[in-house]
Amino acid sequence: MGEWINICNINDLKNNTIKKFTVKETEILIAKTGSNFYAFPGMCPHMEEPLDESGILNSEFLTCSKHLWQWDLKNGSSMGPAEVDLLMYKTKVEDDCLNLFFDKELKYEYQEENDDDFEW
Amino acid sequence: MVITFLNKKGQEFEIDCGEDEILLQAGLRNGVVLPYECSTGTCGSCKALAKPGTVNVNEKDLDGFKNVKISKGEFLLCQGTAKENCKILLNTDLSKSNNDVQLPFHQKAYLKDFKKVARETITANFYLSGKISFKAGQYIIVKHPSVEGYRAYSMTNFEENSDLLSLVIKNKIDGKLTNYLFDSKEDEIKFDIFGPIGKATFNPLERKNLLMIAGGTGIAGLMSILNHADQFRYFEDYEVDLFFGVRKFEDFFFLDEISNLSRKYKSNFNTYFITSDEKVDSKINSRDVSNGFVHQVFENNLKSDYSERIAFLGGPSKMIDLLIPTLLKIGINPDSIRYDKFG
Repeated sequence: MGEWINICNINDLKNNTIKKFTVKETEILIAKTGSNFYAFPGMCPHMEEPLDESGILNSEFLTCSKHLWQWDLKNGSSMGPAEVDLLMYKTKVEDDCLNLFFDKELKYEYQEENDDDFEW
Repeated sequence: MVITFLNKKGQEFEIDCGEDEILLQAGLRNGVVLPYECSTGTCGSCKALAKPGTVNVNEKDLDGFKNVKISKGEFLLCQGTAKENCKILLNTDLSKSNNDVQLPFHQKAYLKDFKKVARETITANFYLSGKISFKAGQYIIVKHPSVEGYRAYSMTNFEENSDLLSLVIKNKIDGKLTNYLFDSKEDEIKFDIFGPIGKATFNPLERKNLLMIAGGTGIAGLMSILNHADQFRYFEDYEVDLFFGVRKFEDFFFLDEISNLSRKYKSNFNTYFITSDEKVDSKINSRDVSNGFVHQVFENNLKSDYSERIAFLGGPSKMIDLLIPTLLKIGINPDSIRYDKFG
């Protein structure tokens, strides 16, 4: 069962930046573009680059500067060379507080622990 | 040996691979579209997974291994050879090359015509045993028996179906191959080469203004693009802004070639020459030489239409890493930012 979790006051986030938070031992990045807030896992689904360092925001688009995978943050859909959609957590703002709906850590299929079970 | 490239989406390609053949080269030679940039262990883009013990891994100290967990079976395709028939798992889409693309292949070639063009920098030509058709901006990787591993060099010329490849070579302080070349007294040196490879290519039919940013010998691949564009008289209709940076004024080369193009295409061919390690009063093409790092000079000269251009980058990885955020922030589409990071 998931729950809404208070992350921070929205005024603590600068516009056009990405900030890292830890929610229930899970690394989550929050991007602010204008009055919109987007939450997604910390690692790029391509080569496990930390998106708080490699991610570049331009309007509602996020691009990993390492290999130029790009996503539309409005829905996480992949663009250009990106082959995997960005997984996204739901967010909502109440009384200037940013809240995130957390059920479980969102993981990409590539992630290592899944490879341990790979049947060669 | 039989190698199977596969991913978790169920895409799968089986190829024949030679004994001791680098797995990336075997895949590309057989037309499998694989993830890579440098093909020489620098960038880490070709990370893959194999069942532990089935693959030999070369040169594990290279920069590209930074995020590679070898104990779990991860490795770089450009540094791996198969011990036995094996499966290679990738986390990217897999497909086959189009039929109209020249697949890379191995061949012997002789390096000749050495000519010093700047401090610790020479040009030279590879004379091939078999002709290749390459796209402007592509490169080859070369191996000399006396030096472990392959090195990447962009072609500076452009010619359809060519048996001659022109290169520019910088003597690197710790570069085993370049030290060997610069010390050699031979008139010609035999190499194994593999190519053409590289995705940072120019297609004149894209019909867009260009932005070119180069540091040092990174100008090489851009010269091939300029040569191809000149053959099409591309700059009669489209503009190019070329930023070319070196450490010191004496490090510049290809100035005659660039100046000729600048005179030919006038206002459509804009050049910015930059030195990082010294301020100079000299002019090139009647233009001042800027002092600073390439990415800084570029940021100081942004134009509003850059977001609509195709950007070609050539030079050290650090320069490219510093430029990409700026290019993305000004709104250039990722498909229009092209580079192969092997510097």
